[in-house]
Amino acid sequence: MPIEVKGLTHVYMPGTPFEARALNDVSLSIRDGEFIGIIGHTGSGKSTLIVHLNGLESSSPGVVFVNGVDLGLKETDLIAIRRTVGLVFQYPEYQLFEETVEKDVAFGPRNLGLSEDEIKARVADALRMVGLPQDVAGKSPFELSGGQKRRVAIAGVLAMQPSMLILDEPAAGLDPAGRREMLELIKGVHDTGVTVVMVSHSMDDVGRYCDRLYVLNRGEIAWYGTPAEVFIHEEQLHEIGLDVPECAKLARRLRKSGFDIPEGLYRTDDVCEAILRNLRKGSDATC
Amino acid sequence: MRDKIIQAQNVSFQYEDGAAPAVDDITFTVDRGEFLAVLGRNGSGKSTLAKLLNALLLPTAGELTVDGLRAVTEDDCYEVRKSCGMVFQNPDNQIVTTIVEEDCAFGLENLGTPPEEIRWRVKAALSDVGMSEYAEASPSMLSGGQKQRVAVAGVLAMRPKIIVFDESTAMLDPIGRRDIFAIAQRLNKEEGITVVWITHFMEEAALADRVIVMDAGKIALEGTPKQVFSQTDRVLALGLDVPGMMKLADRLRKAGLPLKEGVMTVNEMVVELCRLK
Repeated sequence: MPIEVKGLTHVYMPGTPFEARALNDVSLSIRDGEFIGIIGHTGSGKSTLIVHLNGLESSSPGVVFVNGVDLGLKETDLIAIRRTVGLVFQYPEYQLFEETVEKDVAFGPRNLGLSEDEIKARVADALRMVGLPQDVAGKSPFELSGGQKRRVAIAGVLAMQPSMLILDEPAAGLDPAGRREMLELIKGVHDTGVTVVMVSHSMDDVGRYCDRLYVLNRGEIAWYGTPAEVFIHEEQLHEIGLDVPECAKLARRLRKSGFDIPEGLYRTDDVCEAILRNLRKGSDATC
Repeated sequence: MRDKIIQAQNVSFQYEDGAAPAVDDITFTVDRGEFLAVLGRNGSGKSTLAKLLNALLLPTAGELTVDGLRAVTEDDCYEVRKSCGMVFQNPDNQIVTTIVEEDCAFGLENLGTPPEEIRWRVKAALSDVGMSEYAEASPSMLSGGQKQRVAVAGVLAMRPKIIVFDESTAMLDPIGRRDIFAIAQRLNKEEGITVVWITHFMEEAALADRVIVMDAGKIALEGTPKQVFSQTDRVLALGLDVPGMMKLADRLRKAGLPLKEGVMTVNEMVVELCRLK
């Protein structure tokens, strides 16, 4: 389910004093099985971009192809697209509405007209994928903790068995342990073959999990590439309100101070080993 | 001994439908002018503690004094709230009017402050958070970070001695987060306002004077950031994290480098590694 975006431009409230250009000539491509990170500060266009990826919004100029299908064409079946491109909004726990967790997760599959058996199986699968015990199925979602509610909301999207999952800030507001668990959960989904697009403010998180990054600034793609390729632009990223992982910062500072450290290091393991190589010449550097 | 602006003695709070107390028999003090960070996993009792500090909740047991006022009965609760302001997590939940300056004036209007005084206090408060030019804007056109700054201004206009920030940066982007944290630091350093900073961001806690870690309603760890974060295993077991540089320092030490204790920031790490080179 590859996605191709070409020259996408989106203007909010055109022709009014509040006219705002949220996206300007954005092009990107997402291949099957990738784990993509989209970063940018508030108002950079991230959220506007992702609602285009499953046809919730459409704009011109610009085209969005999902699996080769142009979402802008009248005859395109957007409902079918939304089944395969699952979108998890920011703070999705606020979207829960049913009496029980089971009913909430089943809402999508039921609308697909699946059999009761199939719906049951999908709900069980989805709850397992998000790491919730099956006995929460009968509970009201409103009895659960914030982190559990968010898992229920994600389960509701997974129950549609999408081949691509787009998540807007999935770890926002969680405590550090909850954050790690949420990211591992998403990695687990990715490991089953689902393409993942994750919007995040955290360079540490995208650095750890993503294959490639797109950095948005004022509605345009400022940089893209592997995390190492993007983190090289530390100063410019800082200017647009973004940080690089602390280890990337450290590696750069050490290089300036005369350490022999290759460019593009940002993982703790790699930086740790590079430091040891510098300080213990001759001996084995393992970290 | 420094003046204790908050004194909590065996304070507990139990919600009516709660099985266990949300805050369970805790004793601590906060110095006047201190910047105290409060950490703890979701559900550890941090927000309940915050609400006790400005009498939005009253302890079900124990003694709590805030700026010399007893925050245990309804008698003094309005006075406590004037003295101890609070900034919440969600910027959208604490804006009540359609114009920024009206929003900041809301608290003062309710106290019956004369209009002239409201005007200059709000002006000063908005200038303090760098939002003067948005005084007549609609809050709906502001970013999350800007809305939080307006919320801080609304609290500042009340001239509090203490401000409790309850995960006020959780929903903000890195710029918004940096802004609000910097404002809190400045109010603390320059205006002497005592700050209780509840957060999930370890890098913020690392810059506080002192850290309290809550777990299951109790205080699990307490001390300077260096004392707390050097207990890496304990901190991780409490559902938290340690600042990235401390993790790296830990690993370098385990690999045999004689790094000194308490390296927490990139700067400190660079200095320390250059010393070893």
